[in-house]
Amino acid sequence: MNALRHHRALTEIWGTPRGWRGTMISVNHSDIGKRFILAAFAFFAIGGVLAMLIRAQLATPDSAFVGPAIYNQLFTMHGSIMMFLFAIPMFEGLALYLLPKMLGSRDMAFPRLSAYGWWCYLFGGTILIAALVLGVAPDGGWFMYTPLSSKIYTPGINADVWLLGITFVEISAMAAAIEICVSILKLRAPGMRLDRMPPFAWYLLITAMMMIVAFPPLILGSILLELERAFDWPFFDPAHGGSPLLWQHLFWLFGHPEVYIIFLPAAGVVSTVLPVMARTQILGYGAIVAALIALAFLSFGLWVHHMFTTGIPHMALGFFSAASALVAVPTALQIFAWIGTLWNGRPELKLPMLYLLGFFLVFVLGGLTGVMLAMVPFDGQAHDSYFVVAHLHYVLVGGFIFPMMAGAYYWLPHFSGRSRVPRLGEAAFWMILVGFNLTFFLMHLTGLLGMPRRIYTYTDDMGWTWLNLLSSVGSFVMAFGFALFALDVGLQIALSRRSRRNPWGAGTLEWAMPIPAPAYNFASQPEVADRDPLSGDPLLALKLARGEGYLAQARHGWRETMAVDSSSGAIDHVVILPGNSRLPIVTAAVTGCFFLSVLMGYYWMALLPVMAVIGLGWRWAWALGSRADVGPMAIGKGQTALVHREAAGGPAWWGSIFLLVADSVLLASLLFGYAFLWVVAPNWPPPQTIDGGLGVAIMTALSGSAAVFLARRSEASGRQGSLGMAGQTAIGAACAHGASAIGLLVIGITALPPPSNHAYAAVAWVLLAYGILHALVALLCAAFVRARIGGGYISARRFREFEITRLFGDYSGMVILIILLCLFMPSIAL
Amino acid sequence: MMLLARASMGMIWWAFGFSLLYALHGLGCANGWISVSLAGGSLFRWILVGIWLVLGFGGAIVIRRAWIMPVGFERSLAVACGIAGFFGTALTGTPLMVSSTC
Amino acid sequence: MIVGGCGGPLSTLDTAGPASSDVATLWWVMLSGAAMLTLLVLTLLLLAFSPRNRPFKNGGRLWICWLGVAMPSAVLTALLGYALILGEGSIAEPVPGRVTVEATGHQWYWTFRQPGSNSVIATRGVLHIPVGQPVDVRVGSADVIHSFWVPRLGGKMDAIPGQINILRIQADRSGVFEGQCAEFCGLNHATNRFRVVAHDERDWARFQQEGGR
Ligand code: HEM
Ligand SMILES: [Cu+2]
Ligand SMILES: [Cu+2]
Repeated sequence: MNALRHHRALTEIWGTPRGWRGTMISVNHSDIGKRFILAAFAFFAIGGVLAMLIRAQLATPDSAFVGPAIYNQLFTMHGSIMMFLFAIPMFEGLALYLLPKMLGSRDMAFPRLSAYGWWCYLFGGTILIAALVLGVAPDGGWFMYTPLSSKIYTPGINADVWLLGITFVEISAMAAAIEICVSILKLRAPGMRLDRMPPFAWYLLITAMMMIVAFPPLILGSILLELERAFDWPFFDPAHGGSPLLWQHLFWLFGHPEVYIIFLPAAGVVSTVLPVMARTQILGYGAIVAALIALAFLSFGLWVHHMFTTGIPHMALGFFSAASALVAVPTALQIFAWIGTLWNGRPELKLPMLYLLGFFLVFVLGGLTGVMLAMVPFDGQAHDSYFVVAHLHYVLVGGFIFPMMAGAYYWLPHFSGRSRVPRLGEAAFWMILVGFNLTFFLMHLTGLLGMPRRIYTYTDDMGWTWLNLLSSVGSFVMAFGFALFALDVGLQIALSRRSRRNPWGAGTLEWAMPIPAPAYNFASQPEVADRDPLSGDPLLALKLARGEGYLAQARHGWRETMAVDSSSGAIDHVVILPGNSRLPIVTAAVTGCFFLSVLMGYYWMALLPVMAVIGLGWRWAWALGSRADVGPMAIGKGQTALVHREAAGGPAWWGSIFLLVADSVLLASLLFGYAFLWVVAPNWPPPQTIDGGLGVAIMTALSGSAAVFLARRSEASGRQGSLGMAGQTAIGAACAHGASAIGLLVIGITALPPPSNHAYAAVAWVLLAYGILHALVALLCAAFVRARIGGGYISARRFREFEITRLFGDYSGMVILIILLCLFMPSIAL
Repeated sequence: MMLLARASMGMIWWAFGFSLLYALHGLGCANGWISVSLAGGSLFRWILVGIWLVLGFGGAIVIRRAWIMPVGFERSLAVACGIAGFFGTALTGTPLMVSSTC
Repeated sequence: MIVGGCGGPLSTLDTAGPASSDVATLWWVMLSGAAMLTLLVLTLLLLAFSPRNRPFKNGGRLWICWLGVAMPSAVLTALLGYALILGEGSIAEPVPGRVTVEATGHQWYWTFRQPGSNSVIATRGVLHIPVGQPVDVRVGSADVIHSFWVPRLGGKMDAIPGQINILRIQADRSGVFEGQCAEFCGLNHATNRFRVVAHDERDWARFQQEGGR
């Protein structure tokens, strides 16, 4: 077929309309990825300006530049912006843009979800920045310790802005995490076994899995703290059986993995760029993957190292100190694997390599101070001092910014189709490197000389004056370096000459396409037989453009891409992805209304957007599917495959699984909180525990189980084609779910003390609310199945709705049993 | 997915053991289990040490099971994670021998 | 122990008690170790760029097993053992007859209470202790979280509402030692300061009699 005509036909299907309408409805991963990157950079600039204000204030002792009220907002917003609005979205953007291209696929698994995540991020970030402009920004530090952030000590909305704004942004992180997992596991080019995936995909797979486990504790913590602030539910108030330490546990249970979540994607960039710079392949691919797995697990056993000074017994501190030391081993392994790679090849000092050298220097120093801080006695002195500020910037800037800048220069030709402007990048590099070390190296000493972090001023007699002045000078040098970088990138995009394809001679698939990349990535999808498909076959790009791969046809306006078996890479089915849609932006806006109503304290009004989101969610799911069977269809190379609607284990199923994993981590965190308060908090046992309600509980459990049973019956009839029967049973299941929701509510009203009475009652109510919520979700799923049957979307070949409904229904049934056990067991045992 | 789960068995075992030791330690300290003393330490400490040894034994079994897998990517990962998990259990348990309990 | 620019009223390196000097020693040990490791990494890195034909080509075992895993594991195990034993030594285990004081963090000042010869002595902003003997500080909070930190005497301990944490400090010589709240506690966290005055035997007896008046 004619390549140009083919290009036009595919662009028609995958492209985005021009103008505002296109901007609002696009769900294309390249568009969304670029937007994430741009916005994240803008937030980096804002965070950087705040940092400059901080350094201006601290440059001299007794400075009168800003007072404590403003200074507290400055560092809180600096930290929060850098962590939540810059680092995470930045790598999400890179992942969204690159992953499908590297995996030889045409888009991510849930394009509308990427778009929804993007809008949530944009709106949530805007709320935070608006608060900064209005002078009501959060001011409790980026980890918002209670009780300082509780209502008595922060009566204004500052803390609510943080809790709600960050949670809103977290939605986008969760969406990205689920989507990255499913895309990497399912949407790869045929033949790409797990051990043929490019290292970057491994890094992101592990990162995304970590996010799925790490973010729920923070989301839970934010919900609990917001409940405490809004309704006096005393989770963190020791006078009523709460504990300020519960917040710290939940926060750091998220917070420590978070720093690895930020580091790993950047390390993935190193593992991608460095071998290309050395014209060789990475050394120890398997060892690196094993190190990543070890890192992922270990990083969840470190969180207490942020709490070494909270009076926890020495033995428990020892466990976490040991784990914190241990986590340095997989990191060291990677460092030496990279150096070994350089030894194996012929490294050239191109600009990305220069930034990688900066990464080595800075990150290794940061890692070493990290090991020091992991030692309990030393942390007693260094904790909350400028030593920690130095350490955290060495790891974050060294472990994230330097590799990402290497990546920026490496992939910029891919984004822009142009090669870079000579020499500007080198100048920026040296300014950033020198400025950075001047700023932060000295801070180690400032910290050891006793300067605590988060202080807005100091006196001359402390002996910190010259150190601070030099740090401030260094920070301005660094800031000019970043400005130069931005200028360089701008010039390259606007003015520079065109780049040839694959300018670095890389072997990964993202270079097997014209640059800048077309909307559909690959005119036909490759068959992959080794780790660097492009090195093995330099003409691959041409062959794919000529349509010699899979799914070369543009048909029915379908956005088709291949799905494979997650480990063997064998062809599984064809996924037809949804196209451009207004739903993501509308749903995100409505979600934003929810957060704004809660922020303003209009709690009842917040129910309106909740209803609207349910309606939109319904439409979201409804828009998928088809009323006709397709059967095996041709995918090229003389092979056929089923379409995802007619095959088991499609993206929706996997996405639901990962969503439920995140959901169960949330529940597990809540149960951890329950047990933690029970064991550790003062003023336990509570004055009133659950009283009666056992009968209702048994009925609730029974109706939950009945729902599970009915859902299975319904599915069985559906598969046999007796749709009327299936529909009726589905309605039965929905009613049973509804009954268990009501049962849980009745238990709360009749048997539990009011939630503001004691942390016990508050947690019990949250458990019930969790159960009710899930019963309602299961109810909606069952009702959805009934509606789909009525709409003719279900046939003996197309019954995916049953499978998803079963997942959510089973989860709800299980959760209700767990919750009832947790509520009633202790009072029976006591 | 299942491949990943099988391959990370060693680390899953570590995570299980680590949580178990931490949870038991918290429970024991809160409920005053250290008051029973035995053979130069508290009964509580000896129980924890005993569990640690069992965990180490379990870790060795995990390595053994990984070792006999068919040669390939999965086996390499499983063996590496098994060793990492075993070493992790050994190292993160050292405070049991050194540190004061509560 | 004042090396060059390491002095200062809040310096952790200008030590005046056993706890802080233990930590300072630990720091110097770790610093030299870290310096050597940095040097090692940087040298290996730079050698990769030398045009000579390099040994260890494809040396996966050397890079990964030895340098990547064995070396750091050995170093870390040794360091961890050292730090755990050191930390164990500074735990405040209850000893009858030890001087015990209560320190309470407030927004934004500190108050202290301790038994005197005649009555309980309460002070604000100044904590009095005897020289040369360990003192248990029972740290608590009246409102939000603070942290009790006298860097020249030892590490910090958080003041958390609803619980009492015990920190052992000791001054080896008499004098005034600056203390600073180390956990962010709101508006005036920066100026939430206090002092520790270490008395020799005669002064201490007089303080206990007169309650610091
Ligand atoms: C652009 C150069 C940067 C400068 C000059 C800078 C400067 C600072 C300073 C002076 C503080 C301490 C404020 C205080 O304790 O009073 C701070 C805190 C912090 N910085 Fe940066 N920073 C920079 C970049 C970054 C980056 C890139 C990140 C993360 C990716 C980051 C994350 C943080 C965090 C999390 C805190 C702690 C905030 C808190 O205490 O609540 N910074 N920064
Ligand atoms: Cu951490
Ligand atoms: Cu403070």
